[in-house]
Amino acid sequence: MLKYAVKRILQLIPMLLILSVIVFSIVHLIPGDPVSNMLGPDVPSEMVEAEKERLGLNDPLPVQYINYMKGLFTGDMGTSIVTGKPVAEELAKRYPPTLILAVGGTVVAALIGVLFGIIAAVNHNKFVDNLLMVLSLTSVSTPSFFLALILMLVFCLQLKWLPSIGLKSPLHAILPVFTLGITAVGFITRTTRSAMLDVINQDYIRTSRSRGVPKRVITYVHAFRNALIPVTTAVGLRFGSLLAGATLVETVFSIPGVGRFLVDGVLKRDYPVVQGTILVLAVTFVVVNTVIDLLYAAVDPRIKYD
Amino acid sequence: MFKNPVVKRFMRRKVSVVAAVVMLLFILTALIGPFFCSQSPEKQNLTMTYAGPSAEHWLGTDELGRDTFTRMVYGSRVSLLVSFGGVISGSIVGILMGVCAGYFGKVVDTVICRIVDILLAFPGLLLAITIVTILGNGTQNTAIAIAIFSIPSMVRMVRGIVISLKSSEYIDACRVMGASNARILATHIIPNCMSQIIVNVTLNLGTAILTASSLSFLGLGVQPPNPEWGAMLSSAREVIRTTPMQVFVPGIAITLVVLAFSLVGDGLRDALDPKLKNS
Amino acid sequence: MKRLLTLVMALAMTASLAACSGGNDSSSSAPASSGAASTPASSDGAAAPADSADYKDTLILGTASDQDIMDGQNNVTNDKILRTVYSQLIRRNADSVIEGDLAESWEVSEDELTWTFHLKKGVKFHNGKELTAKDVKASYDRLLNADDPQRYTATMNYIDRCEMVDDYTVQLITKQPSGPMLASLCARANLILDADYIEKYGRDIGTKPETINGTGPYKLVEWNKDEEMVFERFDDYFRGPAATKNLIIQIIPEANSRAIALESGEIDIADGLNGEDVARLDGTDGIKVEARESNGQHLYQFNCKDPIIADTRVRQAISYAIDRHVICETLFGDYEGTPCTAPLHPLTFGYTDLGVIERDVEKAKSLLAEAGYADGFDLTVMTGNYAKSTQVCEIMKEQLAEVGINLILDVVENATFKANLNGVTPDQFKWGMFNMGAGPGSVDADEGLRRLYTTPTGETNENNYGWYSNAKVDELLNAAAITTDSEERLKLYAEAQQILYIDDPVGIWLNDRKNIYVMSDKVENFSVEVKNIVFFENISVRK
Repeated sequence: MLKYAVKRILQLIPMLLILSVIVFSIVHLIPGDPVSNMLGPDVPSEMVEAEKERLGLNDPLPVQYINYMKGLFTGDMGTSIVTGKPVAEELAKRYPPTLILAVGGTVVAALIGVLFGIIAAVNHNKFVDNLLMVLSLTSVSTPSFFLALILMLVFCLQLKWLPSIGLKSPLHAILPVFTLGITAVGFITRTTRSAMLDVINQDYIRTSRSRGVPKRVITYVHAFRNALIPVTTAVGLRFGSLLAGATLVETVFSIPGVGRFLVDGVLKRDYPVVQGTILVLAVTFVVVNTVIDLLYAAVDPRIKYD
Repeated sequence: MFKNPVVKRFMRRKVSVVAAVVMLLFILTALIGPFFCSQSPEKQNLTMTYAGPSAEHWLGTDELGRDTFTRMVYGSRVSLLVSFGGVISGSIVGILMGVCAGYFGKVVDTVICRIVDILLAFPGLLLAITIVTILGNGTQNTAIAIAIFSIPSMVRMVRGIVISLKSSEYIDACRVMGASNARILATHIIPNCMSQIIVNVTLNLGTAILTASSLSFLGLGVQPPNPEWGAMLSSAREVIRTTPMQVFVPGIAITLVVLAFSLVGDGLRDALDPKLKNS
Repeated sequence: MKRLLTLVMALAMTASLAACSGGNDSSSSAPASSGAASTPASSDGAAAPADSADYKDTLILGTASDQDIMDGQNNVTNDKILRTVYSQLIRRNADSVIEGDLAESWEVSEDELTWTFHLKKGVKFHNGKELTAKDVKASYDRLLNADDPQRYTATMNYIDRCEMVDDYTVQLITKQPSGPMLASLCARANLILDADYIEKYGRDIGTKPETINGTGPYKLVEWNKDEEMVFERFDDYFRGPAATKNLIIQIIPEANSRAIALESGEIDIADGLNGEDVARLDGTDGIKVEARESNGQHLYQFNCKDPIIADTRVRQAISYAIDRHVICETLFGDYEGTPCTAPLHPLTFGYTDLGVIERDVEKAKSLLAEAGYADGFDLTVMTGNYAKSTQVCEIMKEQLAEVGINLILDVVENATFKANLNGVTPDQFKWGMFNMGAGPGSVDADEGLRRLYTTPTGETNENNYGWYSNAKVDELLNAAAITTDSEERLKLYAEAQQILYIDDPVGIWLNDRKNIYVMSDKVENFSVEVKNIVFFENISVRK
């Protein structure tokens, strides 16, 4: 188990290296450059050139990449071209809000999704099943900024129950976390439901059912334990997409998170910001997936790793 | 009435049937709807901006006095083009990559898996954002972004199926009988993946429409005056308080269509899943 | 429960505030009164502190984007926030009249090259240090150093150097006599920094609160990027302490969210709301709209290197084919729906009223026929991806279609848009027309016309983005730049504008813009200067 964990983590290193190369080249492929964008159109070209020279943007790309990586290994993620602030410092500030959103959202999604999924499976093809599936899929099918705006209009303006700006207190977190969470409910409900159905239709459940164990007990105890693996995967996968999908929710609820930082970075061609943010998000994503892989072993003794 | 057991099982689930009808209506609207419109989606009437619903304008008018109903009908075509064009082309690439990875294994598999890992490590929407900023805005480029966006999940799924099929006795038999790789792939492996591919494509279609609208919200992707639904929704959001209709029409339409795609996908999955045959 | 808590906190704060302000008043009274005495009578001297029980101690403004850097020599974002922290030699008041800020008085030498400024005495920096001519000189030395240029070094390069005469007297020496001198000294590049901080922090000035030391009414105490800027009153501000103790600039990127935050009372003032929302809120209880003149204009500029557009008659035809009234009324409504009457805003020095260019389809058609394009042609317009501009283009498309011109929209993302306006050669620039916002920072025609429309010296489109070239315009604008007599300058600009506007048009001037703020009706003494500088120090908010 430990050996497998170490192996998985070692495998990540070359992948992240390749990823860094790709991110680096892609970012530089985007038309427009950070300096002329930042300085605006009415400055002399010589100044743009001088600024590019100062920032090392005129070096050949491989040289820039090596410089960047040198910095990275010493813990320096570069400095934002637009604000002149260290990227690492900014990320340290913006990572927690996004993490709160993503973790909170995942918990909300998992709670609702698993509950809905189990109920739907138990009532397979009945009205409740249909109703719950439609409900949970509706939330996923609505563009998240649209949903966020509607919820904000209702809860912040009409009912005045919740504040609308930022993430300053637990009260502030309710609406954005919920909004983000329900965008993942459908996926988890669906996975739980079909995993449960798979298990319910397996022979041993039929057997225990015929032996007269109360149906409810069978469902919850046996079936859910066995359905845990696909459900955990689904939850894990969603965590990653919530981490990224937080961008729109962050924008509507004025939360300075990683997602907005990244999109702003892309729009302003702030190379160090984009590179740093993608790397951090990718590492989070990959780490979460690895952890989930490792959790399998704990949940399901049938899985063995070499 | 329905001989085919899959169709029969699909029909048993009423929600999926309703969803299928909605989906077909949407596709039909996109294909032939514009021929039945009496107005042009670009005809402006600057004296009648943000009008409410009337006999002449069923869903009111937008900021330039254009008929919203007509724009929705024409817009369904753009939305369909972006989502179908993107997802289907992405899926074809994904299927090819998945089949190669699963069938040939070894180096090919490793390389393709790493590519997919990298694509997957780009957090969701960001991949689409990056591609669109590189290529520039527009309908075609949005479709390309969506195509790339939908490659990884397809590769993973197809590869899994191919690996499990490859070791089956039946493929071994084909090989013994001297069938070439290409032949085995084309006549045996791909057809066997088809049902799951269809499910995956259906589910991705919904996501694609949502991705396009998210891009519009960030000022990227399909641009006005093109009446793509996501672009219409995001540009109308500034009047959500004054003329809510202009926001809710595209908003609800998107929700309905995406929901329909998801339910149809689910229904297909249930119907195609042999394990559920007896339930 | 929450309300109760808020109430208790508010009471506690008010009590502690009352205690603080008592002490501060006595310590700051001396410099404040001397400052007030030397300030020319102005409408916006700081109001009395409003710490009384009837007023809130915190003012919150919700705005779309954060400042890039709090350093006037390098800030590109806007003018809105900088003056809460910094002062400059001279400034514009809310009525757009130039008045002394740090300078008590000033005069120009006989040869019109040397400008002498006498500084106010007893002006304190936030760290308690007194401002002297040394700081002014250090600031200008940094700004004018061409070897290590700041963002606005090139803009200000008509000033040759800064000399210190004594502790309270500085001289700015220009290379040539300069007509727009005073106007351009009001621009943000001229904000005065602390000499010690320049030495200590260099390019890091303005990146975080520790590197900022100004003489303005507020101190920046906390800056969470893209979230909020928290300011605290500087009690020794030379005009007297600001009316409200705390100022928070809250960053709310989505316009709908700003409106909701205002309506739910989370913020006191919102800017940059959607036009439709402004109109809706204008009639709402408890909310008022302040729309003040800015000197911004919205225009569509021609690419004069385009083979078809190069023909003056074609440009005139396009100009006559557009119905400005309809566009303005439909899209810019009650607040910004005033069509332009010249290539300058009425508030910009040099403006001459040339009237709105009225639509004349027949004239447009005959001009096109004369130029040999009776059957029309395809014209591509590049626009940034913000809604209003795209909508303008859509209406123009319909109007131009009537004279046979097929307008093709190319909506590009903003960073791409900007990249096309800088250091690009004509063969890299494939559009016939592009949208533009204009509004000189100095509120003077020199920056508004000469810098933008005189024949470019090189191949690339620096400043003159559309390669406009007209010998007569060059002559008039260059003459006006070195004329210090206002009457004479106005005459030269009037003649130049007639050419730029229609005789050999640079573009289609659409509408004059405004600075629009929507706020709670409890906000008092709100005022904003033409360049969108909000005088936060005067504002108080009733409870």
